[in-house]
Amino acid sequence: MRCPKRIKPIINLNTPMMTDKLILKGPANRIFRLLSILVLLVYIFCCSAVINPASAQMPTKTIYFLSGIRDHASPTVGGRHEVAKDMLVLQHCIDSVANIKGVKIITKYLPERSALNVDDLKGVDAVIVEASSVTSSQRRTHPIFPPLAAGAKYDKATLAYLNQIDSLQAAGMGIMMLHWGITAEGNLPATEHYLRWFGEAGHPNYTQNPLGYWIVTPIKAAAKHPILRGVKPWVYKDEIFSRLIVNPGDPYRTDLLMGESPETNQSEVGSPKNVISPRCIASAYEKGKQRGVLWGGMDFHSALLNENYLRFVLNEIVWVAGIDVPKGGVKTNAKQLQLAPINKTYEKTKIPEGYIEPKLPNTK
Amino acid sequence: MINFKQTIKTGVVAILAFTGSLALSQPALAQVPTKTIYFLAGNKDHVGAEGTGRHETRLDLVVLQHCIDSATNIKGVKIITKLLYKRDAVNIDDLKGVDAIIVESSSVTSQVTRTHPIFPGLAKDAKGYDKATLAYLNQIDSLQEAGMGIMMLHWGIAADSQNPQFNAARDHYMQWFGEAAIPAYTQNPLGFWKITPIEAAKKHPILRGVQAWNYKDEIFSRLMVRPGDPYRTDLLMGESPATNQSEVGSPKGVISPRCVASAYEKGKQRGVLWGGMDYHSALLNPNYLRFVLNEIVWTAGIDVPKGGVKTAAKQLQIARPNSSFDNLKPVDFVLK
Repeated sequence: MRCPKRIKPIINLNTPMMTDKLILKGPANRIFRLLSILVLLVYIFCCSAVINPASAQMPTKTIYFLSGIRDHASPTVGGRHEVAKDMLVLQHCIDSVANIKGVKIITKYLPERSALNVDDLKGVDAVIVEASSVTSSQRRTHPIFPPLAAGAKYDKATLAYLNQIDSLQAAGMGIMMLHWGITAEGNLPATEHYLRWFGEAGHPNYTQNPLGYWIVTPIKAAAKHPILRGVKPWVYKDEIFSRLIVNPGDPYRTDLLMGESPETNQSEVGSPKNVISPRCIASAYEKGKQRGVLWGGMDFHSALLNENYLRFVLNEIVWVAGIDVPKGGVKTNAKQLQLAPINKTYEKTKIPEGYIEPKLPNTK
Repeated sequence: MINFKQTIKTGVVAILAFTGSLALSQPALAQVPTKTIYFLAGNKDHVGAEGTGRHETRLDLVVLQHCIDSATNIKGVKIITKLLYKRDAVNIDDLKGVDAIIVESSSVTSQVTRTHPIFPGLAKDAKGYDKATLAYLNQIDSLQEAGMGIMMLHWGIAADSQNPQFNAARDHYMQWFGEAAIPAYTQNPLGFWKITPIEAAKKHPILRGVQAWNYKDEIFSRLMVRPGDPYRTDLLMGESPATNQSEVGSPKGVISPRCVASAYEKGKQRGVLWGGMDYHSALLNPNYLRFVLNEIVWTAGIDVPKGGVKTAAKQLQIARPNSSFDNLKPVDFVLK
């Protein structure tokens, strides 16, 4: 058997390198040294970028704020059901967050989303939705659900799209909904998805939306839940969609807030007229990577001027996105907390002790 | 000489003293409290004729009444029971003074004719109950608040309908039991169930002496409740490896753990719904029977004895065994 021919090395290691003979003198030498130092500095800079994880490998979280069309409450007075302006203020608050470290938050605002596919939601860590109910009108009011005529059923393509939302949430895209958008009574497929996403749903002729001054208190048993960090009881005027229904014994749901009101525009069986006795008004749902919350308040834009109210909502947004809620709750440097006038309607009902009149930051 | 009058006087005094001392020495007999339990069976309009072993609305209650009548370890209370079949009253006259009503029936939504001992049927085009019926149902509310416990079994626990005409029934369920069925969500999977008492509720009287059991059942479940309701105690979890229904997120036919029984107590008001009790033969399972008997006794405001209710009743079956759906039983499923 013949041995293979020995391959002649391209570089003769015994031959002195060219640089050994390359001796520069005078100004050329200085230029070479300066160039060497420059190359070295660039190298060090690049290395530091790679080594410093805070800047190079900082995780990113993307939060989308989706608002529906504002088809409800007075268009001229303003300050209520401000689906777009609420979202813009909350986005601004998250963009100006002061105490979240180690994560880069990217936000995006999408008004009046009409897509029936999930292309625009891929890679998103949380969608925050404020809208009228999907059942509000035959126009599309809800960024996630298309309208459904009475007695009609979603077609296969729409059902498949909604199932894809399930998959996105199961994979870690948190979902949060605010105000009327949290109820889908009369739309069965939507109700089923709500139960899956949030472990709770509105129920026809049972779920209510009492409007009055609410006393809202964090539930003691949930005091360790991240969403309640830094959140104290508050009193504020609100229309809170509540009396949602849940599965008994559901290990994935944590009830967060109780609410009651001495006088509202609605009544309940067993209580004096217009009085709302304590009821659970907010829960958080966590099942594996899946996170979901419904917040039935957020009627009045001015609620965002209430410190605890705002903290609760910001904590919810951050938690839904899978970001660690900082100790003491989310703090923001945002200055413009109001994009609509303070709405003075419904102020003649009983006001509980502890109510603080909202004031714009620049007013005395 | 014998004084006749004196003798009579002495005799009368002696007799009075003797009977008086008897009455005083046996206060248990003289002052024993009474509890009255009514068993109300609706018309059997579903799954074969009476005696075939499923949906035995009357025969199940006859056996349970017999078990309560033969309870061996409930002391200090006299229990009076009565069975009412196909109750059709729309007033509460017959329920006054009753401590518990135990109802087994088809759903109020089953037919337009009356199947439910509490709720009348409704014509398909009816918008809802008339004022008189609503007033009658409100009177049931008052009776329950005053201490008349209500327990319902099997299909009778569900009043879900796409037609909002039954919203009033659903609202009363929420009030009486803190839970209710909702259309297109509540299920009734039939298969071999594994039932486990919930650890956090183990001190609830209904769970005294109740161990986990495995048995064939159709359990009306996925009822809905209010979040944070302080009056509800969730009692049992149930799951099944093979049923005739499916749920989103689980393989076909598999039912993942879900809460299948709760108890509701608000002041004097007590209410329970038990969505099982499809097969008459379930009463032969000692833990199953104990759970149901404990529920009845607790609903009536009677202290459930340590270790649960025990009965000397011998005739636990008055319908034929029913082997339907036995084919669903997985090979490794052990009945217990």
